[in-house]
Amino acid sequence: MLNRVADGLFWIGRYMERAENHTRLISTVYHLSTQRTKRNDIAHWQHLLRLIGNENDFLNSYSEVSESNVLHYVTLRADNQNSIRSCIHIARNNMRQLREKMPSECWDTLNSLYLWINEQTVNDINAETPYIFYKKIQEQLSSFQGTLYATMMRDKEFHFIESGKCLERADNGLRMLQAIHFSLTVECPKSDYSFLLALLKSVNGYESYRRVYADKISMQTVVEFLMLHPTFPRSTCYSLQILESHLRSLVTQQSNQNFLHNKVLSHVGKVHAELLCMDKANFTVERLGEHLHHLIESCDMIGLMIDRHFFHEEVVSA
Amino acid sequence: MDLNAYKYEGSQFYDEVYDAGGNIRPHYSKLMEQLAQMAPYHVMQKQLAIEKQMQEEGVTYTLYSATQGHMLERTIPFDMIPNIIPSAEWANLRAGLVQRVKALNAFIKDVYHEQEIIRDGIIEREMVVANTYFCREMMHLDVPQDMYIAVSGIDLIRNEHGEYFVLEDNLRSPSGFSYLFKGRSLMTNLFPEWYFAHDIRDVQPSIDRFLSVLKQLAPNGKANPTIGLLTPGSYNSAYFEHMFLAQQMGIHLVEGRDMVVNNNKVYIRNMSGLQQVDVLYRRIDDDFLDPLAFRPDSMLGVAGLMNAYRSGNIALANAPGTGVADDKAIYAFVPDMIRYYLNEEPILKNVPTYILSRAEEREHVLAHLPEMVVKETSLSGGYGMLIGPKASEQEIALFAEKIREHPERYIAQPTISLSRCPVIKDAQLTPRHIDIRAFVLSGSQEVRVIPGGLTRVAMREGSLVVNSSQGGGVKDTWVLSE
Repeated sequence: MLNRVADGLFWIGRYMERAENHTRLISTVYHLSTQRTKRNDIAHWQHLLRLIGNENDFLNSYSEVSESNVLHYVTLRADNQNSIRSCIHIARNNMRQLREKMPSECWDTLNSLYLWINEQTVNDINAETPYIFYKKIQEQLSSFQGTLYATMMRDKEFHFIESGKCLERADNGLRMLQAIHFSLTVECPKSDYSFLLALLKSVNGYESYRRVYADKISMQTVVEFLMLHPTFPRSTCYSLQILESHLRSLVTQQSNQNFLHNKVLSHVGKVHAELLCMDKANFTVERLGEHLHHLIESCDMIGLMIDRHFFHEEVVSA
Repeated sequence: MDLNAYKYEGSQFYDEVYDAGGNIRPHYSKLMEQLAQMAPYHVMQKQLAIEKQMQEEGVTYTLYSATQGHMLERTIPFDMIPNIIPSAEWANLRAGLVQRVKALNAFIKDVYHEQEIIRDGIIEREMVVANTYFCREMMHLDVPQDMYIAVSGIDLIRNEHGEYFVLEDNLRSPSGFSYLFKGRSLMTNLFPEWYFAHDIRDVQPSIDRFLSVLKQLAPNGKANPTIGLLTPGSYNSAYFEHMFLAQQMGIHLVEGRDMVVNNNKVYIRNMSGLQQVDVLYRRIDDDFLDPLAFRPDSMLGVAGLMNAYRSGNIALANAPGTGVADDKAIYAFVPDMIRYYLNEEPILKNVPTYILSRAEEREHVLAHLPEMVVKETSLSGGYGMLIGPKASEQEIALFAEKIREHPERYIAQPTISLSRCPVIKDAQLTPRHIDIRAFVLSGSQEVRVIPGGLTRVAMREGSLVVNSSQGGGVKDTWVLSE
């Protein structure tokens, strides 16, 4: 496989996962905001802005933090690199350059989504109600993932997409936790755990969480669940474990062993092992920030190493 | 749908569906019957479904928008009424195309070796060696299997009596395959009841033929060669086609930057190392193939490719320098080539062509410019043309001046009124001019013609220009089985 193709596939995985995470999150936050007691409470929207995009960037282009402005910015705005539309655009344009490597049905589903989202306006979001609108995006994204699973050969192409997806999922989860932790500690320590709950719901983890922790919802247990649960498919720990297995498949499918590729694999294993050594006690408000910071750095490092050793290494042997 | 509103206009043009008496030709009777039963609303819906499917599947060509500053992806207009060709008619065309391509290949081999056709006085030396596409680097270079034009596209038209003529040979890197295959899958998906009511030659096996032709080119008869399709990249207007062909044949889609030449062998830079390429189906022009041999500023090619080619380590489809034979002036000599190399009479007719460097022919053409089509010999895609009957007096005067200045750059042909075939417009039938690009695949063991080819339509009323770059559309082409 060509380096640039591998690179493209990896980022298709990342951006499609990012689009999905953001869709879930926006939808959940929207529902939180409908439950608010005070009118004109814009805290939720400010929070969302910080999670997806940049508040200053937002204020440069919009007059005020309002529901429809924020929904537009995080969903449809072209120059917000993190908006759902941008994620889909980047993934689609990447795929356009390597279409022949993927089943055409995968292209068809992604391209339909791309054509559809190009036509949407913020009025459509409101007209359809955000609940239905984001559900539609969610369904189309799931349809893409389903098509991928049902049609792709389990070879390098597949493992690259999946690696991107897993790394993005781990990274995204950690960043969300970091943002929430920040607001709990620095901004309004008195705030309830509604955001944590929202995060739990956004990863569709509320019901699973309830099956594991029957008694109470506390920050420590929610964080433990989201980071460490060994079988919850969107936990950090599980994502890293699957990332490791896809990278391992990539390395073993190679005809000649490359020690740099093995090094990447070892690094992922190390981060995964660090997580496995943690427990609830690490996740007090005081200590959580430090751990999150360290883990996010580790994920960045994994990304850098994959980029350098898989996509930019010139192999000279003939 | 009301078929009677269709204006086929008797004998001025050959109509594919109606004969001069206004009766539906037998091979169209079933289709027209089915069409008559469709409600106009239903027709509109199908038209929308076609467009939607092409958008979703990304069957597009790219063009650069200066106003918006980025690339736009456009679908080509696809018309639902197929161009139907009866089997006997096709058999004759097929034989003529095979014959023509064989002679052209022999001609290219000859001009790059002994040049016997020049020595025997059939073609003037200057016409060959002063040709823009004559490639000196190819002199005395033996190409794998002596196959210069593995892939060619021959454009066919019909005059007012329905006689077929060859309008143009495209021997460099003809495009249009993807529209042919996608057009067929659109028709079978959206009009199964039409498709199954006719006995139509399948085009899908042609993909295998294409692949086997490329395989046969492999140097030293290597059994399982590595094949690449060399594309200029995703900004090229035909990128979809490159992607499509690579995907369908399961060959590598590569850009120049993905390859490297080492020790006169060409390799793809793979993640796991270098992989040697044996056959390259290239979709970039000669000039850009190798910055060391041709244009030094080319970013699209592979440095050292020509040396590898010269060393016999890679096959190129098509070979560099094939353009010398699809020049519009050389075209006039193809019937002579067929007689010279194959000792056969040409099966397909040429459009009579005046060579303007000959004084006598030039004066005749200048006197009859309003009736002529004048073409610049080295341009294609419908550019640099004068269509006499449609041109203004100023345009004609301008062209006359250009011809006097550089007669060797132009040829002229009498205007042939291309045949017409109905298209759907606003849920009604309306006539448009068409031509057919037939695709010929030549391997060392066989020469194959894809049954049907690509029917191109001039979508503007009265227009004779069918090129997609100038607003042309396409139709599916049905060759009926015997």
